[in-house]
Amino acid sequence: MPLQDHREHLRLCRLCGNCRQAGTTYRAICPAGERFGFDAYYSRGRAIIAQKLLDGRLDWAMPVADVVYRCTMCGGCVEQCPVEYRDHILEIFLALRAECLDRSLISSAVKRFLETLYAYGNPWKAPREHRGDWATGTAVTRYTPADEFLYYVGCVGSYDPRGMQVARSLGEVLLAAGVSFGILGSEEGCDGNEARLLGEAGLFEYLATENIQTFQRLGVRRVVTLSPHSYHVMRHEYPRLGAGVEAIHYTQLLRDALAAGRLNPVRGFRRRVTYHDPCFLGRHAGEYDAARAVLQSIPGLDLVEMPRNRANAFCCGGGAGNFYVGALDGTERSPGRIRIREARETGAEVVAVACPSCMTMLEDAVKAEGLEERIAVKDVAEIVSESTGA
Amino acid sequence: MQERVLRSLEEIVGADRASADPQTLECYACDATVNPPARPDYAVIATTVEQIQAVLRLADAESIPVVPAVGMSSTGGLTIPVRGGIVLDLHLMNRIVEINEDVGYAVIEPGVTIGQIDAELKQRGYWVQVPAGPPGSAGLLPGYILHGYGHLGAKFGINSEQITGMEVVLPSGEIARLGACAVSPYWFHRTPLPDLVGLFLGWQGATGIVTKLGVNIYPRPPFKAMVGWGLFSDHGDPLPEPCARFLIKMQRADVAHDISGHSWGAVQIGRGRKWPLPPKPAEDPEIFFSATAYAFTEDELAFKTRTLEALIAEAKSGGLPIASTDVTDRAKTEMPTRYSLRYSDHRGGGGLDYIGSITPVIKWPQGVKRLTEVFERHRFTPYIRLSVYRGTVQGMLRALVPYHRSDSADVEAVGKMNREFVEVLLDCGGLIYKAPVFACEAMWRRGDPTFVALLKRTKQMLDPRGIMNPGRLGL
Repeated sequence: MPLQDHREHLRLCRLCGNCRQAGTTYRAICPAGERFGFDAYYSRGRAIIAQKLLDGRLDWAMPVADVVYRCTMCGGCVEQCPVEYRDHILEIFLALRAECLDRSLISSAVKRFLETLYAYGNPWKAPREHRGDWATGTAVTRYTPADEFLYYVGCVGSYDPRGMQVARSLGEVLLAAGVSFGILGSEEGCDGNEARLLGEAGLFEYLATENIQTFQRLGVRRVVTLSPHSYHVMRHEYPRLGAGVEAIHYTQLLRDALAAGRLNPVRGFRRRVTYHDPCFLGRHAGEYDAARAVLQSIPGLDLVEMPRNRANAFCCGGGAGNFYVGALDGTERSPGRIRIREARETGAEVVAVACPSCMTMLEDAVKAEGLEERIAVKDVAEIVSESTGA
Repeated sequence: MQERVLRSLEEIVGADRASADPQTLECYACDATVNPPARPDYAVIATTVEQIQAVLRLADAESIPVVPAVGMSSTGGLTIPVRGGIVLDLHLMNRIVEINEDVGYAVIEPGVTIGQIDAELKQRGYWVQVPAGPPGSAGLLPGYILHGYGHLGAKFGINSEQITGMEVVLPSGEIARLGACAVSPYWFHRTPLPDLVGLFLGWQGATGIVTKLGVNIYPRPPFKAMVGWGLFSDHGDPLPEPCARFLIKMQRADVAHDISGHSWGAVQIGRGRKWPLPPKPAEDPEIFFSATAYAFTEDELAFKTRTLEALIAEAKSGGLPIASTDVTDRAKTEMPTRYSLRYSDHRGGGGLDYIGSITPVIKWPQGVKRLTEVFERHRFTPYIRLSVYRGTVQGMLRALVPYHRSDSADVEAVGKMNREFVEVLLDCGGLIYKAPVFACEAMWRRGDPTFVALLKRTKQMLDPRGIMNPGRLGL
């Protein structure tokens, strides 16, 4: 829906500022607001900017686009908004981005990201045939119609060195659990989620349609994803393009496997762990319990919560393409660094994540904070792998 | 000049904390009221007292207006920079500097939100008077220094009575401490020294910038009860004088922490009902009242509840047209709340304006009647709130107006109604708090000329170059 069709929705924002703080603790919730401070970066300010653009009191220009793109679409403001405006917030943010794109008002980093994605099918300019390299040396095989699940890995798990380690850990855990699955390898394409959230609906449809056609050709019915971003987009957006697959996140599969005794964490994990809720698994999909259930089932693991958790969790700063374009990076007020300091305050030795983007964002933050000796970032799949010996 | 000043501001607060970009400035140009928008020339985020000092010295040297702002949820046009200049955004100065449980106060920075201090104190078994109108994300400090009302008003009075001291940066850049903290390490009270705190209360940022505020804290009672009663009066006389006297009697019983009323229209709006409302059913009261009491033991709570119920029963048997109402749902509402502006979409369009006053309770019958007439003449739902304060039995009487922000007829009508509300409330002997410019001007027109002259001289003494929120107080 174009921005002009949101005119009445924008009036629903009461300008109350609840979008700045989370839950009953009233700690900060907006990663862009915390990073930059000005009201323009909070949801309230974005509503004013959108309104003023429509009213002609503000001109479309690069500085406006700069603000528009410095948002991770984490949904923190949506969760805090107490009125009907919440139903339109992210759609309005998307409409602002789409309009910026139409007017060629995008940063060079965003432009480069989108052009690379279009040309190479991934943001790394990496050959497609290398997508399955992470599985080399494992018993993971290509998907066949006989498999129950397609294990969809996504771009970060396929090309980012740390993401590839996580993809491999999960593959081995799924094998150990006896899950019937396969991968697409070089037939896998980008899920398109970040292109969509950067306002490039055409590129998203192109990428998504390619995946959907592959799914249909291979008879895929169930997809287990490594990334919550893939899970989100396949669950909420692919059906609109004709996909008929059931998407689940891997933490849900591991939870069930552990409960059924198909995984046995005999080695335990004797560390204090805090869990960082990924925005696209938590707020966007409402799944807060699966990863916690997995962690709580591991002997010796001492799970502690950060003050901001579940629906009130603070974003790592990597959503909506910011993992690639880094629009919120650069200072001690970068969201990832704020989040790592919060994790450290719990006394945790390990931050557990369930998203390869969060993994890299938070690992970078650990280094920037100089906390390498005191806190580690591990994916839930890696913790399960260590505890089971998979 | 703008570029030069911007560079100077960037040197003070850092390059990413000062801006003259239109999209940044536009967010500080308006609020949810019909007050005319005005864009500042600069927006600056200060995170230290030293930065505030430097900004004010620069502004003083360059004769640039400065308007402090915190939560940006003001509904009185209070942070709209009517003469441009610098909006000094203080929301990131959000440290709770001290909580002294032994002496009974907390010291906060301007960006500490209502919800933030309440959450911290709750963990310790304490609380403060919570400003009852704004959402929990609003700043506590503005709600105190602007004389707002709180959820314990019947017990503790107006919010500003809770202030125990302050640190303030003067327009010259000097730092002053006021109250006991000027001499003592403890921020326990504004007296017995000469009380200069008033130089910065109700001035809407026109005399200096408060950078730390001492506030009373109290042990937090674990038990709460609420009793409700409806007033079944004649619509032409919605609050008869005997009912006002009953409110005075209830306050003087000194049992309730809060005694408040909502007009029938206010209750419907609070329930999410949209304009236009059907006629009020005969079985509904004109005004819904409630009294809230807190207690440290169940016995104490039972005593307070019995006392309040007995007062209601006695009044009813004495002929007052009142009857108990069910307040079970309302009793569950905890302060602070994030839902306080939810009702502003009553007419669509999400706008909210209001005129609030402190008015003797004995004048409320006249006030409620005339405010209702103003609402109905302009075809708006009468939305009237009343809260009794401790002390001389005055209280908060205010008219709230949800309106459609993009409906020019609504905007024009609200502008007219606001001016009429002000005259009604002043006629009742009331005073406008958090007053928009036109309301200040209306008060000064009626005010003692020497008082107004003294205000001007005080402003001149503290702010000789007139940089602090100029135009705001209509002086």
